[in-house]
Amino acid sequence: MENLAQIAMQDVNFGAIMPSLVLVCFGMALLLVTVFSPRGKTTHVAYLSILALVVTGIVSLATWTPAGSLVGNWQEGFGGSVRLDNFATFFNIVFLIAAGLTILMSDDYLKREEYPIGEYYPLILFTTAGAMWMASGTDLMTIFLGLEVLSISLYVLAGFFRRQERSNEAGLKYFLLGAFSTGFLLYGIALIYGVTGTTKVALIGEILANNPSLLTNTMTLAGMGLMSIGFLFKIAAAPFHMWTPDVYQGAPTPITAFMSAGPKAAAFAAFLRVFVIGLAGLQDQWTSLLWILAVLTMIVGNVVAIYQTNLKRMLAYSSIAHAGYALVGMVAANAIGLSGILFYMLAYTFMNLGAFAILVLAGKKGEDNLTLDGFAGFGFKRPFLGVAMSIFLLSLMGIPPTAGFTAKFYIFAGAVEAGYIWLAIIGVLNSAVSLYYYLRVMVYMYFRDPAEDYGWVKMHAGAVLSIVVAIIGVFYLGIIPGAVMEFAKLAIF
Amino acid sequence: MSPTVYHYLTLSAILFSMGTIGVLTRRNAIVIFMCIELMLNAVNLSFIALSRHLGNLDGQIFVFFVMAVAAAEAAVGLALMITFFRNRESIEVDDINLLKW
Amino acid sequence: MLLFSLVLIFAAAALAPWLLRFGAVRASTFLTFPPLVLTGYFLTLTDRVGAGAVVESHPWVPALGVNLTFYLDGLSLLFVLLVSGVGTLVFLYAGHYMREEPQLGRFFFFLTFFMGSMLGLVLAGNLITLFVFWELTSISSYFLIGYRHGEEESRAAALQALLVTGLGGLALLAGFLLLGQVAGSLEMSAVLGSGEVVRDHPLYLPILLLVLAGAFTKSAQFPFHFWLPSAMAAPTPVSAYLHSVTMVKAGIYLLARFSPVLGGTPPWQWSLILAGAATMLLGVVLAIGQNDLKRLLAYSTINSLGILVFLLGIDTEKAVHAALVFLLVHALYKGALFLVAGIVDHQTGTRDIRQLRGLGRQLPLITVATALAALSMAGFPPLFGFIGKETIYHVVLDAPSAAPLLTLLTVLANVLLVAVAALFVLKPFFGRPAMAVDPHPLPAAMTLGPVLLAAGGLVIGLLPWLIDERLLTPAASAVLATPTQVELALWHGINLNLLLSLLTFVLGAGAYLGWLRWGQMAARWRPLAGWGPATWYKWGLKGLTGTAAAQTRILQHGYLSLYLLAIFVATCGFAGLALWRAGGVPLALQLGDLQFFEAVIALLILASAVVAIRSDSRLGAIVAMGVIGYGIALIYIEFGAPDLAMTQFIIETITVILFILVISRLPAYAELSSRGSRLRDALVAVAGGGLMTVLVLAALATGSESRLADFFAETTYPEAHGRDIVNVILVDFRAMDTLGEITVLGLAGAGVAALLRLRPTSKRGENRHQSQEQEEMRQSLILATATRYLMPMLLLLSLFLFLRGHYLPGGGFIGGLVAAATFSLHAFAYGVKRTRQILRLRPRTYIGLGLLLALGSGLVSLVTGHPFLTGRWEALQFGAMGELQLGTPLAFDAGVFLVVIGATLAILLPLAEGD
Repeated sequence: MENLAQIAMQDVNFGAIMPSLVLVCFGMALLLVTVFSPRGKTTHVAYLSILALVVTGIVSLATWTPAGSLVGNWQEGFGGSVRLDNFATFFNIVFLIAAGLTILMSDDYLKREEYPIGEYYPLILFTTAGAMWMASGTDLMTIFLGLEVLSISLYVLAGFFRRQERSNEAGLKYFLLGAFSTGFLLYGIALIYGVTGTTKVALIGEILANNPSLLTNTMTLAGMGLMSIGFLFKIAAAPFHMWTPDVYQGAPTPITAFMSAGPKAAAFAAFLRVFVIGLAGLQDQWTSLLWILAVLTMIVGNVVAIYQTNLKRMLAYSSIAHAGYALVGMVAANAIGLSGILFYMLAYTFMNLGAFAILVLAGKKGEDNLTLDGFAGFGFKRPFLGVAMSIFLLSLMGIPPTAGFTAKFYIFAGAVEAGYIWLAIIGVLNSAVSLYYYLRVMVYMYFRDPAEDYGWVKMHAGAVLSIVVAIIGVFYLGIIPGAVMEFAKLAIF
Repeated sequence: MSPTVYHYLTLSAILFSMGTIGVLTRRNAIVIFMCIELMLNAVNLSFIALSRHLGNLDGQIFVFFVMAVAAAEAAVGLALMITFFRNRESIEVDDINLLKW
Repeated sequence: MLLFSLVLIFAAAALAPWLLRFGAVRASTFLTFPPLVLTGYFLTLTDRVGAGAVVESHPWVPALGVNLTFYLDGLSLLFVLLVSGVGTLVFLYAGHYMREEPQLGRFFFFLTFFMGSMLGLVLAGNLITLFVFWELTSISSYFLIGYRHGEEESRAAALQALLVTGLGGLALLAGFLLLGQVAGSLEMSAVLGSGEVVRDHPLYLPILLLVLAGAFTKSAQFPFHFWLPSAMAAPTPVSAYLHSVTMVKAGIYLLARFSPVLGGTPPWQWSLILAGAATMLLGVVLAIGQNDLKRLLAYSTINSLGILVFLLGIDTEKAVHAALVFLLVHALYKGALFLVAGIVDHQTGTRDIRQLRGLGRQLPLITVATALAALSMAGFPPLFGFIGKETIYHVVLDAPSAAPLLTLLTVLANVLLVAVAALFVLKPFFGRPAMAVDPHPLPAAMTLGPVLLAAGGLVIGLLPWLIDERLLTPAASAVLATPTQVELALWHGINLNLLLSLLTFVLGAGAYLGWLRWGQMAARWRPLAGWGPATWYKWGLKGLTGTAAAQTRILQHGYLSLYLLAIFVATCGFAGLALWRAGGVPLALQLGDLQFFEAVIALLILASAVVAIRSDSRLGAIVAMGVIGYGIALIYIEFGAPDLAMTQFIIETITVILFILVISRLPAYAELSSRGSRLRDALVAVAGGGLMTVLVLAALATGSESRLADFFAETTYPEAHGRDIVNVILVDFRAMDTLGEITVLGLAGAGVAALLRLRPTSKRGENRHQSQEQEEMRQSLILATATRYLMPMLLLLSLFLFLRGHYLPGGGFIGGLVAAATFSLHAFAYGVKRTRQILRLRPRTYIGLGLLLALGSGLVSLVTGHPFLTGRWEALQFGAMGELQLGTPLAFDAGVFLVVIGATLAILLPLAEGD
């Protein structure tokens, strides 16, 4: 066996962590900038963090290999604990888009809610870096670290409005539940480590493949089960979803938007890598488990969303349902299903962040008006925002020609191809239920008389820009999805 | 003298379970969090024992990360509890019930 | 070219709102051109289509094999001509009819959009494309029905229609996915060619049912018929276009389109015949007693749709011919009659046949058109309707089975058509004029539609050869998937059909005369109709929302402790599942060679754990936690990991200080939960905890057997300039993960600062006063003196630990922690203010400097041509004192040192400052 020092010298690979490194450097630098900035001035921090994301985006795109993960010259580094393959890069782009749209809608929002605190932006950058480690980590250690960086930043961001009781509660609930589920994840990792003697994902897969007796070992199965809890919690799959609506409702709106897209995608990325590669031998076990959970998640998310009158909470429940659709792709676990998850995450980022950007613009200070009644007649009074909201809602429903439709179709096609026909049909029926509550918003926007004066909606440039970008994304992925789907296909393992 | 790996794994399992029992039965956010820390400590014990058993160091490195992460979590968690307390004058989890349905 | 025709319509839709600036009439006139052009264009294609289907394909989503394919055969062409031809007339009509309504931009946008979607639907050459357009028609229909959104009735009707047809559409998608799977392709041409494979496949029945669900909801078949009458809330041009001529026929199109694939089997025939017959009958029963012109037409439309489905279900060659003929017949007369109903409404303000009388004199041309259309509906010679009815009678008389019953049903349906036709003409247009009528003359554009459509019925009736060869033969060949010949003739001689026709007229006349009396009877039945599917729909909706509400209240109660419980219970479930899968519990608790040292530590830890989770004293719990931490540190030493033990000691100490600082400011425990809930939690927890423990023990019992230790040989580190495993790994080997570590600490500091920096403004003054008092109280003389002497030593120790880190336990991380612990001790003794003065810089500045240093050292390596963050060593000789190896790892370590100090203090100091 080679000695470690030599491994250390050879394996350190600058390129493999370049995107997250850039982000962390920017984040730290921005923390310093915040320290030396006058109190209450945060706009320049927002601009700088956008710059950070753009630079990171350029770096990320530069690492894309057109030939696909398997044969391309992917970059591995740090003793095989990070691997910047196309899979990671695809997810990195999703995170960057999510973070970018979030920051765009945040500046004026923070001013309106009177929390102009500069740490907000570096924290988002750290979250994004954590997400990147989760997506590119090929060692459970890196993945765990990424997960924690992401989670701790999000605990703070969810409770960011210190003087607002709802935000306090969101932060604290998220923190306690998150830490609790982390405990199980960690125990699962320990057990898997105990069985295989390694924390490297690929090596775990190899060892399990070479020692079939390990596959029926109680320790392996228990490890798998406990590990899945950490991931299922983060993607908010039922029955680990209960925190979602409370936290999403209480957190600052842009953060809610971000949480529903970026961190969820990151959890999927890590979940996929660990289970599809590391625990490939146990696929029969985890697909049968995920089959049930996917159905449960879709049903719980959709049925409960029907009851909501608060739009933030409604979108939170619907995000549970969307995680359920994505899980269908994981159950299928074939090329279409897996690349479908990637595509779905991108599509969902656009449509959900777009919808939240509208909530950001439409909300008054304190956001008590983000209810169905508060949106009565909104479509007439604010034609642009009304049309935009309708586009996002149609996309969330999965109505063509929007991104939501192609994404859902992709996932369900994967399930059908893998023989999970009834799962696909249950998914389709669930989309049918979701029509009810999404459409109700449109009904209120267009078919009800305005209950109040909408004169206060200011069209802040940042939020409007994020809405426009999201609309372009929704239609691009909905009408000509071919190119991105090809990318997604090249990105899976 | 070689420590008996198996005994420590047993101890770790029992500690972990006690931690979860604490999380579930206590109603004070700080104590709940302390019980979560107990769970993490229990896992660390497993890592160390397994690391020894397997004769490689990955487990030890992992423990180091878990400790650091747990410390950071403690800091953020306590800060969240303080802000919560400032607004609500309570830190009992049964009072954390503004967001529901 | 087919793509271009769609683009043309959708472009017109996009332009529509803008065109409305020039007035409704001008805009609608302009909007008639695209469909007119398309009608002309497609008429020129008849010969080409007669020779074979035209397929046009554009790649769309190559990854999934989804193409934007268009498929034009005889069947599509028939529908395309209906859509664009009738569309032209409807647009012309709508511009005048809707002239004074608000928000016409939206109306014309959706009407044009619908036309494009409908064209797309019938031209689609790919199952997915078909589904996409199918749903788009539902959506545009939703907006058009709900156009008068001020009225509750419109809104409810719009939503009902959308839910019913939208749900059906999703069933259709499921069916298509299965069909594509079975047929191996989603392309229409491939699917149409794989009929035998599909029919023999075990999934045939699910596919059939799902596709039928789509078709039946769209075409208002029983039991989904109820949305159609409600949809009459839409403006009349919409009713005429969507809800009689085109959209409701989409289901018929679907059935006809897939009859070569799915048809010809008993399930197909029976479901179509049953649904069709039930719908026919229902249309008759519900039409009786209706007095609203539009609702009357709506129920007769349901009846006609039933006839069409019924004919397709009979499934013989002649039946298909008859269906296509009747489709065209119905489109012509029903389109005309709807437009007339609109004109009547427009001119008089009412659609109630009990009030309408004697309009014939004011509207002579319309009366003639109405009469022609109604005669066609009633099936009088020499109109096209007569031919249609004769063909139908011919089919049912020759039906393979149950011919008498089928004949009876058909006659009954036609009796209704006669009665409705008579009502429609005789009641409003004849008799004494007694109505106030809009004196303005009717615009020619509104007259044109009904007149042309009605005249069409006459012309085709007289000259059926105009269409049978060119239009209907290719269509029928497409449906039957074999060449066939449709021959229409007005006169077949005196036969059974003719006798049946005569009987129909007689009975129809009787029905007309008895209409009002029957109407009273029907009014008595009306409550019974209330128990129909429309009520099921309502209940279903109510049940859904009710379930949702109940589920939400049960699941999302907001109580954190129950959320935690849910996670735990689910976890135990998973664990139990794993146990079950692994087949039993090979439990083996071996305590044989337990050693004294181990037993003591284990007992200490377990006893402390009991205290920690049971204690009512907060301080007791914290101390117990500390003991557990130290105990575990001792175990680390036993396992030969002194560096970890050291880290554990320091972190545990700092954590305990942190907890004490915080908890002293928070209230004592309160007993909020009831004894019952605590008991429940305890039971679940103990049971679950027991299960977890058993599981893990079982796991260990099996896991320890695997001799994987051999797999990984013990490794040594001769060359990494240090022997402290963790530190070397941290700095050299896993620099990336270290970066992560620093990030974790840095962001924790930033987070705490963000959360605690500013105190609530309202309480500021009061708090400051209080905290000063606290600080004074805290200044104990002994502690202060001790600290004064301890501090330099501790700081030296931290520096020492930092420097020797590469050889022995220590290093930047631990050194930093010790330094931070020193400063927190200082803060404890002298108050935070003094500590801040000593530090000079804000903790966050330390973090920033440390990070820059760490990253800078990495960049130096990079610049000097080494991989980022790898060691770069330079030895410095210090004479007799030996050598100190300076290198980028040392600079990196110094960075870590600073970051740890900064982060720890950034966390501790705000928490220690009173508020």
